[in-house]
Amino acid sequence: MRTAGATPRIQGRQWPAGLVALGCLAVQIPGGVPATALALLVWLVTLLLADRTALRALWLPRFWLVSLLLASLSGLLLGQHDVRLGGLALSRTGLEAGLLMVLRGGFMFALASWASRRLREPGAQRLAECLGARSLGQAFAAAVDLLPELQRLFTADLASAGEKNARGRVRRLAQAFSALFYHTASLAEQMSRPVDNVSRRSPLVRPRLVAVVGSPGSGKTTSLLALASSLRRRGITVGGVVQPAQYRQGRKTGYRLRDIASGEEIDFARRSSAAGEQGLPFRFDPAGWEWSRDRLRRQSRRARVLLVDELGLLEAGGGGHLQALLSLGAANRADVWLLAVRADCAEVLGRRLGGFDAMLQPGCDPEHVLRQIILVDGGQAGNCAGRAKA
Amino acid sequence: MEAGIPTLAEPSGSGRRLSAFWTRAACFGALWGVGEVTLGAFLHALRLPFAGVLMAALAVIMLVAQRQLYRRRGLSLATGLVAALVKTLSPGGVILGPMAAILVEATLVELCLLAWPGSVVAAMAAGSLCSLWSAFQQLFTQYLLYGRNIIELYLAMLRRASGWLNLPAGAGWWVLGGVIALLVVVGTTSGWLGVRLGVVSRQRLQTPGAGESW
Repeated sequence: MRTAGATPRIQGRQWPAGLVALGCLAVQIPGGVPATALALLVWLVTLLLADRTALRALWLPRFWLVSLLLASLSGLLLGQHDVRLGGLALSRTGLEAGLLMVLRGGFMFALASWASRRLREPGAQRLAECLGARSLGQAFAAAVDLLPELQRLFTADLASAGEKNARGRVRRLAQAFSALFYHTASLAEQMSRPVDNVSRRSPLVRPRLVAVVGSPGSGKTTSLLALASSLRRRGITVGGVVQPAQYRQGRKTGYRLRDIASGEEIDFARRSSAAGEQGLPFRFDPAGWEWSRDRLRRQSRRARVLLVDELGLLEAGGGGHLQALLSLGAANRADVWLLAVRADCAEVLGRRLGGFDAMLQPGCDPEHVLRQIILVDGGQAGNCAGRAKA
Repeated sequence: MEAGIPTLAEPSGSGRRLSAFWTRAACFGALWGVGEVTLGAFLHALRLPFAGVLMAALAVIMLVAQRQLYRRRGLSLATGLVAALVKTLSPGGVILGPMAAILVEATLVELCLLAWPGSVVAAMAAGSLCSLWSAFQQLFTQYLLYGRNIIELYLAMLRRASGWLNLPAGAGWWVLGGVIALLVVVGTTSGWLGVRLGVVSRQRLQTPGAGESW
């Protein structure tokens, strides 16, 4: 990360070169070919002494060819044809105007070449700060730090626009541009909020959604609990509800609900002979949904990371914990929602929730979740485990 | 704030937190800068005609949409300043031209949205002005480089071309008018798209699952 506050410094021989540039500009104010030719000559000599790289940058055949062509056309098209050159009637005034154009063009181009190199130097930022644009200098530093992440978003979002027919390609490009803008806005919103532990996140932005995706019995709940304790050890407040399964003689007999923050547990579902909601062989206690909704609502205001377990067939059908999550709306202050998602429902749930920001495997490294929180804080995000726009 | 988690909004050593205004300008300025450095360079390398107009249209969509999210005066200009600075990182040759273009486009959008940031008409006007500026920036740059003779030269070429093609004296102006009308259409469309993108993004930011496409 760049640091601010250093004293401005202009490199060795560039300071007098700047003065010479101003002098050369002043010489040309009266106009005319001799003055401009003199200014160009002086400036080229200055570049030879002060900045040979800028001088070498003037070797652009196309630019000089176009300039000479314009000068020749001036002689041909402007003014009275009072000079004959190789059998061609030309205008003296036009030729002079053309020559002036070439000289001025050469001078301005040489000046721009030198000035461009000065703007690239780190001193430009410090100079901006010296001139009172401290915030601009810091914003520039922040923008530079963001470039790798935005570059990644840029290529990821635009690469997703691959389509065979032209119409579909345009539509996907528009969607990719929209996604890119949304991701940037989301990043801006999350970065600009105060970063204390009791989150005061702006209601304008939704949380980052991190999904731990796996098939039933793959260890999603265990992963979630391990991630929760790992995050707590790092001082991050974690809340939410997990849904540990109950087993008897190796057979799943039901589920309980556990409040992550308090450790409180209640019975939630029991195996039933008749098929229940979405064809599941469990009967869910309506009071359990209400209990879960209440805990999620309370903890989404306090915790930095909100955990929700067992998003599966019920949620894919629009019910279950999904209703509680969607009802949080602008009241939610958690930065990250860490969700355990059944693999076969991940696509539908991703669509319902507006896309997952990252998808992890059960047993993943807690660093992946930390990176999402770092991204919220606006730090260097690095590569998250996977990005999915379902 | 948890220990060990870096925070970009608080550059180390500065001892001062970047305001929300400048943070937003930094994010969108970086996005614009990345677009200019990558997509802009790509289009430039393809030597497509009116590539600048396309880049200007994308910039207008982004700036107008940004103002739908944040109604802060000066934000478009600040975003342009950051984007122009990001452009200095471009590995190309002379960068003053693109930097000037970015700053002028940001200024035009800022001026148009100053009074009515949510107005579709103001956004369309901003788009038209940016589109026209982008198309005629080359002419303006040549005017700065070569002086006023270049304008006389182009007018003389227009007259001569009309004569060679046996067209009426004013035909060149009609062609010019047609090009300008086309640019205005492109500009107004980009302004309208910017408003639309801003509204949809706002909904999407506020509600998970809403506004998945525009």
